[in-house]
Amino acid sequence: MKRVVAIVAGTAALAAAAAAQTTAPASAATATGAAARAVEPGVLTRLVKQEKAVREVVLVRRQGPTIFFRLTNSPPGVYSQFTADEFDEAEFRIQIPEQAAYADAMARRWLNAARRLHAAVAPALPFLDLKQNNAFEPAVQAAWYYVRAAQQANRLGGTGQVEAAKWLGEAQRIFAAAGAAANWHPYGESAAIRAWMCLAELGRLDEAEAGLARQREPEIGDASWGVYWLARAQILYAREQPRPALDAAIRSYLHETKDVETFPDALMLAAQCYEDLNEVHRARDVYYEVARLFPGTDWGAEARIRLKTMMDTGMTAATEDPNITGIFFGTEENMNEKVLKYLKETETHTAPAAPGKAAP
Amino acid sequence: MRCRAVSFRLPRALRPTGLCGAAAAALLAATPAWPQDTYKETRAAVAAALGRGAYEDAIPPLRQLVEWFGDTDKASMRAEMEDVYYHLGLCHLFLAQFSECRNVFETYLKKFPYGANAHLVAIFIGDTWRYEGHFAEALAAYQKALKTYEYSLDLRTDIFGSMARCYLAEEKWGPAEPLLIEIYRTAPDPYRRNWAAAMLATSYLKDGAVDKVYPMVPLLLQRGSFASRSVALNMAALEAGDELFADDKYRDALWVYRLVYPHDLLRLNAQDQLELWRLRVRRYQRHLGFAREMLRAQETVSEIEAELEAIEKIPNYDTELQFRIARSYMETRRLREASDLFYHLYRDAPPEKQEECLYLSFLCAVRIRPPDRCLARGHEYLDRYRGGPHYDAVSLMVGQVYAAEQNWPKVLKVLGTALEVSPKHEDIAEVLFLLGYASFMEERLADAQAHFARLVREFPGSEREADALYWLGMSFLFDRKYEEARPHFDRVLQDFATSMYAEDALFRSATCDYALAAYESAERKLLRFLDRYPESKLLGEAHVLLGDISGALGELEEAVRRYTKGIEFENLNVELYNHAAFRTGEMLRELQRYDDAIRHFEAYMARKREGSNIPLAIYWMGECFWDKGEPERTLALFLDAVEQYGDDRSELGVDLILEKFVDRTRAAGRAHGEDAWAKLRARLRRALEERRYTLALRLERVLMYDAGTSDLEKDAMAKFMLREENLRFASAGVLEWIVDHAPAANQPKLARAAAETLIRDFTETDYALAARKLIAEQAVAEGDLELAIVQYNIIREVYATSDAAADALMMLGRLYAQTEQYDLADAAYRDLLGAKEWRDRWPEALYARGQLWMARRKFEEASAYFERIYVLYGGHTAWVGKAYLARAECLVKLGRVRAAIETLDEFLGRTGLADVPEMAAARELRQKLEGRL
Repeated sequence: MKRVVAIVAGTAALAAAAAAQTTAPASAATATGAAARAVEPGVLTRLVKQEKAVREVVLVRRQGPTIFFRLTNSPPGVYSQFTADEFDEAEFRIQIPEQAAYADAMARRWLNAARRLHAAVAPALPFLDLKQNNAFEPAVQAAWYYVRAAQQANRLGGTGQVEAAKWLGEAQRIFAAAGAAANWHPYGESAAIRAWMCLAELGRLDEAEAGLARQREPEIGDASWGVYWLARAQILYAREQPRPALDAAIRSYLHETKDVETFPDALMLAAQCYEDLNEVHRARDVYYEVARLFPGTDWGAEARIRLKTMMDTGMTAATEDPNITGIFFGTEENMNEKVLKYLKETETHTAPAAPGKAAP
Repeated sequence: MRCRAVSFRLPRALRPTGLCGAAAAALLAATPAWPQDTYKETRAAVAAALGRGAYEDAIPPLRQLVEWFGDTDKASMRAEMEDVYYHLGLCHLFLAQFSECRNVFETYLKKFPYGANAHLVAIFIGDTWRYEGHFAEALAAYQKALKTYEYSLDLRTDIFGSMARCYLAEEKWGPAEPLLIEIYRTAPDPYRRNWAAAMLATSYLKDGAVDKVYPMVPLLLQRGSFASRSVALNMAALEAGDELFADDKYRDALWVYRLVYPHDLLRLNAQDQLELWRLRVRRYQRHLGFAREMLRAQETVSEIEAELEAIEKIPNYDTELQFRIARSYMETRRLREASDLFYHLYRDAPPEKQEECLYLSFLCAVRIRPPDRCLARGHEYLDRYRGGPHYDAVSLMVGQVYAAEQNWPKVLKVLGTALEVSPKHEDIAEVLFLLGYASFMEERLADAQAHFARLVREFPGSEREADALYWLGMSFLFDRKYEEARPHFDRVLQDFATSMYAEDALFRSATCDYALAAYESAERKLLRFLDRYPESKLLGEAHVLLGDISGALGELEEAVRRYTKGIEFENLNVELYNHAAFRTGEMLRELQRYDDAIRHFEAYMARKREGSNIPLAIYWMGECFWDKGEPERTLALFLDAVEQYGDDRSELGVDLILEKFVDRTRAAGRAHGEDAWAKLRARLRRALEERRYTLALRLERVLMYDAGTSDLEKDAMAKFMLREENLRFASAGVLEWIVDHAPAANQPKLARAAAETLIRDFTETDYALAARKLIAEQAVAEGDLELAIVQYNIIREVYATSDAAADALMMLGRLYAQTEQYDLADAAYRDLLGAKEWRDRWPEALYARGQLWMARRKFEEASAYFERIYVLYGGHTAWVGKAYLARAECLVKLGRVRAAIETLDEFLGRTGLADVPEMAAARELRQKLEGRL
């Protein structure tokens, strides 16, 4: 049954959209009369076209590309529809606790941070393909915090790993939703790739690999370059192929050194691959780099632990292959000495300090 | 501390567009008065204008409200007027009417010192001074605000930021730094923290204090951050990186360079952020109550616009930056990274830089395992920059990498081409050495000799001279050209006595002497070798060779002593070990020291060295017992060996024993013989029962030779043996039997299959020779000349000194000639002419070479070959006759009829040739030619 309901004072854009007014999809239209219908919850959203036509509607649900909305004063069960590309901007009327989440993140209360943001953006998640919306960034941030929470839980082992899987699942769902923003946000594509990475971390390698294969291979300079190659590297490493994993990790950080969400991970993975390939001197160099450049972070702490183990066990005590220290290299650095000095200087900082307390 | 690069500009939205503050005030004064509407209408006008963000339109009604109710004491109206004053001040502020703004806000603070927005107003007053460039007043206002009011972390961060901006605008880093540090530590949002970090980093970089920058790296690497579009930070990092790079501090340079955004990305980030912040401004405009946030956003918009202008003025530095990053990776031995980055640069850099980038990419890749990347880039260089500035270096290194991989054909190809492209190769001695060595490893000995000889001849004193001399000697040695080999080893000994080759050269020189039958000289050299190099790995080999010398001189006791000494060396090659062991046994037997020989073989068997030939040892022990007159023990030993080792089809000694068994049973006397054969038959029955097919087949083959075996039995056994399914069980002897007998049984396919199995499973044994010959002959008969050529080539290589090899070379010559590959045919004949062992075949080979020239209608050359035959090899009458006649035919073809007749006359007049078949043809031809004169 199709009913046409007039929309009072519709803007030009919404008037166009209103031409496609219809009842809600099956689940919303099961009630027999308007009185029997409950008002379906949604997210109040300000839609903008060409900076002028502004309208506030409640986005209720979507079916494929079609987004169903109701006006704030519409009777229950009566919806209009539009598609995301009809508007230039969408402002979800949600309160995003940015500062509170940031404070949690600074204190490494990753799960708190994630949940705060997640709760705020949850109603908007199905609509992240709406251009210039204000929920994409906090949504991605929430997912990222879930990933960090999972990593934190993983380090605890035991039941922590069960928790970690849960948070990774949450992160995966949010990243996948954020992937819908690929058509307008430079990091939308990265979010989609992150979703595959979460699957890989959950051990669902085949799905992750197949999903990643469906992604466009980015070009150097693209925002998704770093994360794409990091994802490839992680999957290869999980498949116990350290050499191609190393190549992929290097590709990631060779052309993406400005994204803290991929760069240190790629470096750490490369260091691990170097270890696996028995190129311990290079592994040492990369761990040293991470420890120096990311102090007070989980990456820095992990790198320091590896460096300490390497030094304690004398893994790099032997001289390097003379082919590597070949004549055309000008450096005369004694890296073992440097690392030992660094370890001594940072003896009291074995655990990552809260970023908020780190001195510049 | 310096902070030159930190710029401050008044936000565009806050700039009085073309008007100074006073002029703006004048303009305001001139603004027409608000029409005297009702209070309600006036309020509605204010709300509508503010809702649209139309601040200019909001001022008149706001002023009207001030005029009406500014001095009211009515409590309810006072609260409303506080809001009116506040918004009026904001409207002036957003319109960059700072003086008016200040007036309004100062009035506000007088009237409402504890008003809801008083704490914000106090900050805005400081902002107006700051926007006007009155930094001292601004700072005083901010200080006052901090003293007067309690601020949230958010606003305190804002005040600190504003104060820092005042100091930075006047380049007063000292007082700015603690404020920035405080923001960096406590700001409640990443953006302002990042801003403070970027400001601090910029200053630290300019001071070269990179260690202070590193802890801030995680914060600087945040997408969408201030750092990601800050021109000042990027320029400071670029300059600091350059200084570190120039000081060879490559690791620090790398870390700092990597903070620099590529030029295009910097602009793109700024553009993206501008769009984002403009969007935020628009959103704040739609909502009242975000004045502070909007001001902050507008200020950011203005800063980004300034950044974009600055970016446009900076020349693109991307290529140079990437190049230096790649160099830094290279210098810090991060070769994978360096190689990949140089390669990326090679694809993207301006043309004048590409060659160097590809070269450096290759150079780094040389040290990366596996070598695929290195080889791919090396070949790309060699293909693209043929004769380029680094062509010589790259070609040599590619050759060296292939050499390390022992891919000798590739070494030959790459370096062969390198010498064609660059005849004066910068490292020609090394290239020649590698070419020689690769040729040697590929058994292209003539080529190896040519390359080493050229190196020695043309580049005396090169680092490779000693190597070349030694390997030149080795290539002659392996070519069995001992006379040519020896002087090179001797020269190594003479001119490079301390080189690593001296030890080996002395040994090889002795080997040459031995091969040339100069036994005394060989012995002297070997004894000197033992004396001079008591730790040599060749000691065992030297003792064995001394044993060979003694053997050749007939000094069997001494030979035995020396062989026995040689065998004791654990590192002695197993082939030499077996050689020495069996020669010792044979000699002891020859010396009739049968018991010693038996003990010797028992010891050999007890030692069980891997690769030992136990059945052969048993064979010789059996022979010793035989010689001792103990035939029963011989036969018993043989039978035991057959039982013990007969199931292993790879044990060639078992076949040898069985062949000997036949002889020995015949000579052992009827009683012993019949008993032995009976035992053999019994073993055959048991073997068949136990399905020990390898043994059974071996025994059946031998029983064919037993006089007691009836023809019926023989037929049954032949039928049993000539089955394809037996091939996988058959020993070499059995396979050979099948190869020989299957054709007669009309089973050519089986013969072929047996031959192929023999070749596959017993590749380099004498048994395989017959198989190869069979396959080659069948291939010729079937017209498959390619297969025949392959087989004959293997025969000539594997059985190099045998007559079979000479036959193979002759066949190869014919087959190549048949397929018009004259050069290869000629080479085959030439090879045959190169071996003294085949002297008897030389006339035939010369004749064949002559025929090759005739086939190519080069009669002059052909006639010379024919002439050589009857001049040099007169004893070979069969070939002399052919040669005379062929030469005469050549001369006729050349039109030299008289010379032809003279040749024929010489032939006809030569004694001892009357019976050669060509005589009649010669007479006939002479007669014909006579008529043409």
